[in-house]
Amino acid sequence: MKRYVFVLLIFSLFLTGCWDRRELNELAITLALGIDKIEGEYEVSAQVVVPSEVSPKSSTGSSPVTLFRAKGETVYEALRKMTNESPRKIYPGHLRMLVLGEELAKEGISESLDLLARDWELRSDFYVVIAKDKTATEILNVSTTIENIPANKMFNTLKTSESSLASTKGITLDELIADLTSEGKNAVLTGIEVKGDQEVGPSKQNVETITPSATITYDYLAVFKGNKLIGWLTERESRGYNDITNSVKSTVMPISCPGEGEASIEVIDFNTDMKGKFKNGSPEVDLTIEAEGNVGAVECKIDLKETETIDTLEKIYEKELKGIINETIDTLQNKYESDIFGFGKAIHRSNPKEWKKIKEQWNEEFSELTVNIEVNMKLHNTGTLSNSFLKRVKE
Amino acid sequence: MQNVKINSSQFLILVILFTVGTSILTIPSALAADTDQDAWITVIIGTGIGLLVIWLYTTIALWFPSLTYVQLNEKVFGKWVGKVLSLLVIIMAFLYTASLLYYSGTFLNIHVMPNTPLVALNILMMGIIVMGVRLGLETIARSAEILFFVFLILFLSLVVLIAPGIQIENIQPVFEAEAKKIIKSSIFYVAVASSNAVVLLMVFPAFINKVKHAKKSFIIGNLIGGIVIIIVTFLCISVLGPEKTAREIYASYELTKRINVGDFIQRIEAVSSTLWIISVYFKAVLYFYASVLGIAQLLNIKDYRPLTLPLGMIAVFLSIIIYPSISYQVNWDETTGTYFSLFVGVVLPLLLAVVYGVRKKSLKKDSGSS
Amino acid sequence: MRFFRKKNSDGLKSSTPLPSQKQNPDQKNALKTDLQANIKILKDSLGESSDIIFREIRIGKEGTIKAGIIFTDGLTDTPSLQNFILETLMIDNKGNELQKKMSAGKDLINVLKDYAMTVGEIEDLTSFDVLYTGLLSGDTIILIDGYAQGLIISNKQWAERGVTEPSAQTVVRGPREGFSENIRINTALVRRRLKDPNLWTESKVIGRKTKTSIAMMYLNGVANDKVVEEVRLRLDQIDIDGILESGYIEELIEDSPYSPFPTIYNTERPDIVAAALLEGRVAILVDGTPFVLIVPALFVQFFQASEDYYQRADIASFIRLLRFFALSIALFAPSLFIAITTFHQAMLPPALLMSLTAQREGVPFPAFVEAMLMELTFELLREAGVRMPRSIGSAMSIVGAFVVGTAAVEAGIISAAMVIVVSLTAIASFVSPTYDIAIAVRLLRFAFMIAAASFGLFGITVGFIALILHLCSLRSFGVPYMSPLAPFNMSNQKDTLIRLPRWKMFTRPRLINQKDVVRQQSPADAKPDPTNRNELEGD
Repeated sequence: MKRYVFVLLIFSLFLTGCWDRRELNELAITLALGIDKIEGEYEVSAQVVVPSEVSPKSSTGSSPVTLFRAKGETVYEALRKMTNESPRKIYPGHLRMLVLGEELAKEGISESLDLLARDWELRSDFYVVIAKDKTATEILNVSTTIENIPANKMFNTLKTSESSLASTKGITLDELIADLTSEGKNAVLTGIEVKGDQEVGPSKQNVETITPSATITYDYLAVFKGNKLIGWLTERESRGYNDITNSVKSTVMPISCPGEGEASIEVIDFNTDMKGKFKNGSPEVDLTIEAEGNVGAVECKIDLKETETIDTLEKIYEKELKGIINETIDTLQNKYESDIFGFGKAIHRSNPKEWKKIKEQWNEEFSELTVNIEVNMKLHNTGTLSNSFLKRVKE
Repeated sequence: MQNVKINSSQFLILVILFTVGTSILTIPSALAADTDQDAWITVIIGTGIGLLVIWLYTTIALWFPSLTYVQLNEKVFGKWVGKVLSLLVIIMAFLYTASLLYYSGTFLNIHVMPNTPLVALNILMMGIIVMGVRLGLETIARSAEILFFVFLILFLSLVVLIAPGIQIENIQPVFEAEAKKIIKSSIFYVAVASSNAVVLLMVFPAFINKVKHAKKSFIIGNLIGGIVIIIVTFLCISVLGPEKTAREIYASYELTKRINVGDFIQRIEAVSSTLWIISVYFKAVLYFYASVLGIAQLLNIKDYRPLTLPLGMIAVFLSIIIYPSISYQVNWDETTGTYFSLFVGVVLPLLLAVVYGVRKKSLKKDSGSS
Repeated sequence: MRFFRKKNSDGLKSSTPLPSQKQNPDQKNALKTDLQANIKILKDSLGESSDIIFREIRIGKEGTIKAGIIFTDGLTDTPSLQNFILETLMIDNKGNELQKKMSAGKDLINVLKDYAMTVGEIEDLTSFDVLYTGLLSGDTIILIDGYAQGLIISNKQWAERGVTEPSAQTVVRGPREGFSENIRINTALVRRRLKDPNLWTESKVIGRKTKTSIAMMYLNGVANDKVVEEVRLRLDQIDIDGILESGYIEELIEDSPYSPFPTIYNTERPDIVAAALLEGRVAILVDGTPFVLIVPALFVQFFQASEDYYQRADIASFIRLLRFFALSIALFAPSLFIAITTFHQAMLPPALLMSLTAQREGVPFPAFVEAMLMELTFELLREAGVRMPRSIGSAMSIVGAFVVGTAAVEAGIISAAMVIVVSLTAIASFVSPTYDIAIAVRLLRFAFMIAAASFGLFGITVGFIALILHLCSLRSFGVPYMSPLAPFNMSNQKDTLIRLPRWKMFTRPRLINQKDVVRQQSPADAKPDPTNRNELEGD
């Protein structure tokens, strides 16, 4: 008898269960979140998918996403306040983009990130970007083409540009927090901006023409010191940053030909080895770059059939890359005084004891740091052509 | 019930699952909090010390191969002192049953089902624990064989899938932590993963058919369990980085969130929770079995089955009130819990060995005459 | 189980004497000396049934001895009755040597038995119980006036279905013979495959009213004595009025009556029975049904088809693994779908989440109810399909496909993804080579769906652990049900989840049998050696 009572008890658990059950159509699938700070309050905006508009069968032609906004003392409060406007509960499990307003970034970002790291539904594999010169809300308020969900467009654009151009860097929340917390490295984030007519951006008209009136594009990297945004890098510096931190997967770099004109080198394999050391009691960093690539395009009259030409091109590449890297390090050492490369970490790894002595005044040490750079480029192929037809083009 | 026997390979699997138990969830972050990127070294040292502890157990147990630990205590210390010391072991086993329920329930509450009441989750878990203990040790051992297979497949695929994310920089510099800290944390690890195995003396050697083989199984099982935890800790540190590992409450769950093979195999962390539930389940079943059987033997009850239901209900109740909050649990585990485990798991067996050494002759004569 | 056992052992004491006890019939049961009295008793007790024929004849010198011949019309072979019984008694006996023996005051019954009856199977008869059993199973009874004894002559013959291809377990390659309803034909089918003197058949009659013949077959020396003894014991404990199908026996002797899983295997195929006997199992044949029971039955056995052994080992292994995969789909697919879409949306890839959400817009039911509805509809369709006459069956499937597949989705009552999941489940559940395990899975599927709907993946995991615990606690006639997976046995793995080539399997499975384990004498010679063969010169 007791046994049946027990079984009944267990069974009643199942019947009264379902505390956490949520049907798919009870979710407001949020793909992008924006956080701004306006007059001391957080303004959170959520780009939420309209499911029936995503499916080609039931689509009526209106926008596939909608934007909810709410203000609050904390990010969490603001998110919950969104239910005043949204018929469904915000579901951030598939978040792709987190856009932080530039104003917020200048004041400091860490406080706003805690919830996002703590919440069980978030997976911290989304990219974090900074809205340059704009609020995050404005960025999320632009309709896009090809990928009709703007968050997906932002996510995929960043992913492609990161892997094939290397002037941006997709940084996930985890990486950002690691950078913010670890000793000897400061954070960077990629900037995002809206180009064109902001007024037309939100409307469907924006994507009805071949050239959209407003487009979302990525800018270059934002430099942080501690948790505050302190400035922006140029394109060259952003590339330099990626070169130094071994974040290049593939890229194209124009170099000058021996004579006149330009050649483009397609980098297919790029590997940076960063080693810290102490020389005469002061820290130094060795950067060894091993790169492999192809000659992508030549816009000058050189003879690619000669091995010497290839050697020369390799030398020029090495020299120019060193130039870029030096320029980048120079900017960071003198203009921003922020170690975004993780030189401090490299020194820590190689000599934890000495590091302990200098870690308190690392920012000053960083400005004085000697960086030795060595680049080895290996060019393999020259595309489908050997010599360019340019050589034979009639003047 | 006395003629129930399991074989040594089944015991091996039980030991592995027992050792992995909750450690796989909690150890990486607890150790990383103390020793940063050297946590995995701590586990290696801890496993080494743990093996010594296990060796102590097998030695003690084999003096009287037909007795459980509770009976052994009575035999060596005499009836009343033995019963009191056994009670300590039983209390530990029972408390840890409740605490494991709390672990599994809280884990689910935090990561999967925040709105489901803890008590509902615990009743469900306790339901299958009671079911397992009622069906007996043989059934538990046999299901362990099958579920271990599931565990192994999940674990190996997890390791293979997460391996591309390893960043060696994360574990450098090696040996940065002070030796004192490393030793301290590895003792904490011994308390969690090895000294609790004293409850397995309720199974070993009394219910095992080839005791000589089983001695090896006990040690090898602990070693394999240790290796699993070394691997998990290493992966946590090298993939997540020491700071993140220390920050997460269940770092290895966070680890599985990182799996992403070609944007195709991803988002499988909920599946991996199956892995943790299996290992936690077997640890809890063994604790509960030890406490129920221990009580039965303490009170000279022939069949322990009638005790399972009431004790199960008490365990559920206890699991709700045992820790007021998760921070309390983490603190308790690292302080009082460790001392308690070490006292019951190391000091008592050592005491037993000493007393046995003194009374050896009279004991031998006793068992010879009876 | 305990409950059943108790009842059985109690019942045994009060039951009617078993046929084996015929040597000591009590007073009421014994045949009378007077023929007329015997016939009267018979007529009274049989209620003058029209299919029982009484024929009184006179035999012996001058026809002085009265004899009665009783048989059941339709069950007895009339030509043989006329040719071998009536003719011998009435014609041949007159004026030959036998006459003298009969008149010499000897025991007439024995003389008839020893010298007169030109039929194969003949038995003495002293009690009415035996008489009824024999008579009603088609034997001919001879009673002689003046003797409290009679003879049972076995000449049963009735119209029956011949040996046809089994409909339940079909094969592409393999014998097409199936068992029929006649137990004799069935034992013969087995015997034809195993011409070994150690193939022993023990017969029993079970059922107070039906008097069904049961035969236990096993290879003496290969089968485990303990198992044989256990089967014998359990069969003897059965006390029931009727056995109409082997399912009756199965329910009465199985280990765990409350388990949805079968612990006794049944088959229509003689080759499966022969293979099982060779592995040391015991077969139980029941008269009146083509389904033969095999014990002990293990979990993995239900996923092995006879064809696995007739085709190439690698293909057979692949198909076996496929069956286990199908089992997990049939068991878990709907519950996983419910768990993932209502608890763990984070597990869905973003694009899939989007499309599933779009499909669910406007669906009025929660996913659980939706799945339940669909699964129930499917079960209805399936059951209707089984019971319907074949000609209506196709109409059923059209309606089913239309209602389930198209209309429900078009109307927005069910989401398209759910239809896919349910159909996948249905297909997977048809893969199982045995019907019994498929039914168990069908039942458990609903339990898992409930668990998933209330606790998500955790519910499924808990359910799965409980299921494994349950399976591991089962035994079939002393053998752990999950063996050789748990307890794990390496050498038996050769023929469990996969099948190794035959020349790798030297021994019979352990646990089931303990002695005579060697299948092939010399392992070294077992493997075919291509280099040693004569090759034809290619020219």
